[in-house]
Amino acid sequence: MSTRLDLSKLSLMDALDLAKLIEMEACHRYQMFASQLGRSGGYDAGAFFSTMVENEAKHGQEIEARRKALFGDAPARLTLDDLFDVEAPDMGAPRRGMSTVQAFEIGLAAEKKAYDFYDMALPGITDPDVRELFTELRDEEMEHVDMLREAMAKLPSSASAEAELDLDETPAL
Amino acid sequence: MFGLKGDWSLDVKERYFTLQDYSGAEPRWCTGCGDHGILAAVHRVCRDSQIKPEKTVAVSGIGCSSRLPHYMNTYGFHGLHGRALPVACGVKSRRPDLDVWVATGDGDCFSIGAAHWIHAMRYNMDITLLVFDNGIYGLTKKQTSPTTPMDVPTNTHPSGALLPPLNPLTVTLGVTNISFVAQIVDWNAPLRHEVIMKAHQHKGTSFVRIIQRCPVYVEAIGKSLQDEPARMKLLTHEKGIQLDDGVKRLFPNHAEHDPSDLHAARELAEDSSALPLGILYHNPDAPRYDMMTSVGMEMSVDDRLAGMNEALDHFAI
Ligand SMILES: Cc1ncc(C[n+]2csc(CCOP(=O)(O)OP(=O)(O)O)c2C)c(N)n1
Ligand code: SF4
Ligand SMILES: [Mg+2]
Repeated sequence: MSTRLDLSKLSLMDALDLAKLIEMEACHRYQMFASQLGRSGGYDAGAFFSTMVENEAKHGQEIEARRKALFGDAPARLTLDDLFDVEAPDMGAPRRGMSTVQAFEIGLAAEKKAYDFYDMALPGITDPDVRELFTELRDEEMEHVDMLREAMAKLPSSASAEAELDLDETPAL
Repeated sequence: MFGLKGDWSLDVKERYFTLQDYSGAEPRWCTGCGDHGILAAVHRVCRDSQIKPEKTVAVSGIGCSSRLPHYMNTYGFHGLHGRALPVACGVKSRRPDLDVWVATGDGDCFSIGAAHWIHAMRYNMDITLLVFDNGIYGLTKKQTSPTTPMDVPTNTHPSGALLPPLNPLTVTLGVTNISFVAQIVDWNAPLRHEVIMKAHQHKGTSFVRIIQRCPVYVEAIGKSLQDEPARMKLLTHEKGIQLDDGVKRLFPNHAEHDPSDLHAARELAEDSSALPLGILYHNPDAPRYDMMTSVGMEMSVDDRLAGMNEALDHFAI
């Protein structure tokens, strides 16, 4: 996880834009996972990733609304190119046939990664508004971790089942 | 100028390439295959270095990993099994202006392509060579490769490989005139990015062995390393790579290693107790064959013919 930005120099507007982009990057990644896995019925790994698409999109929209209220349509200075897997799980994280529990574990690790990102950035941030925002975002990521843990605890035992792989689906020339 | 509005400008705007500019067809690797992350790293390094897509060539042999050129929006050459390096060397020797990347597998490079690997390392042309080592022939569905560990059953050796695996690092570090040798695992994004970036920046053949997960056929190889990070040793140095504490935390074992020390690099490569990750060896001054093969490239066809005739005249009776 990283960004190539000097976080100590972020203005509040940049920080809000960055936070929105972090959610967008994660949203796109989960979208890719959901389309790679498809759905085999019930609350499977693909369904979990689709839920995460919605969650990340919602969080991103909330941040965007706040940014708009404070800074209107002032053009953003940051783009998705400025960050790199901050909250998005690694490209190769999902596996065909994986269980719902394993998919949850990927989501959980991603939320923890986002928590670490804000937590490690905080000591270097001097702007009080940005500090407040990053503290809030960090704590929200921890809430997401707790929410995922709670939901995981309620999963039925069948959620640990892995599906058989179809070897004909591996690449060919 | 006639017809142009007053606020128009004819300045040529500097082009900025985004990740999208380097992304080709949608990858057809299995879900969870380590190749996805490696491709993402290549796209990012291209973007961060702002190399021109039309000045970039991705060359490969045959294998799952060798499908990479299809997923790059650059020039590409999906070649013959084991022959990625001769093609890449050919491209580089005639078009030294191009940025040449090679994607090859453990079968493609260390087995059928082994002779080309040794010679390409010695030629030291300016090529970024990524070996996707999943320890198996993936495309042909699970045959033993030179790096398959002995305890891994395959379709050709159901009770496990009969011989101990080849060590690609000790072999490469033993070749004359090598200039860049590194090793990474596909699942650590910052490490992956740092090393591939340095490999690309290096002028010479940059050999990067990537321990790559093939969760379909040999899940245990990647999983056992992920479960036991103490089996790996992260190498950092001011002349090599430097990583955030957050990344270092994931590797209980780390060491400072000066990549200009070939002897120390060989010792690390031979140490069976820990798999070294990072840059093992870097020598920016090793002679490059592409600098020699490109001499005279600017000559016109007429000048070349005249030169050849003059040379042949020495043999005329
Ligand atoms: C001359 C020749 N011999 C054999 C093959 C069959 N073949 C295709 S890919 C492959 C091995 C690929 O393994 P590797 O290079 O490790 O790539 P991976 O699929 O694991 O990424 C083999 C033996 C071939 N295509 N051409
Ligand atoms: S067979 Fe293995 S190496 Fe090939 S695409 Fe699938 S996971 Fe990757
Ligand atoms: Mg292979």
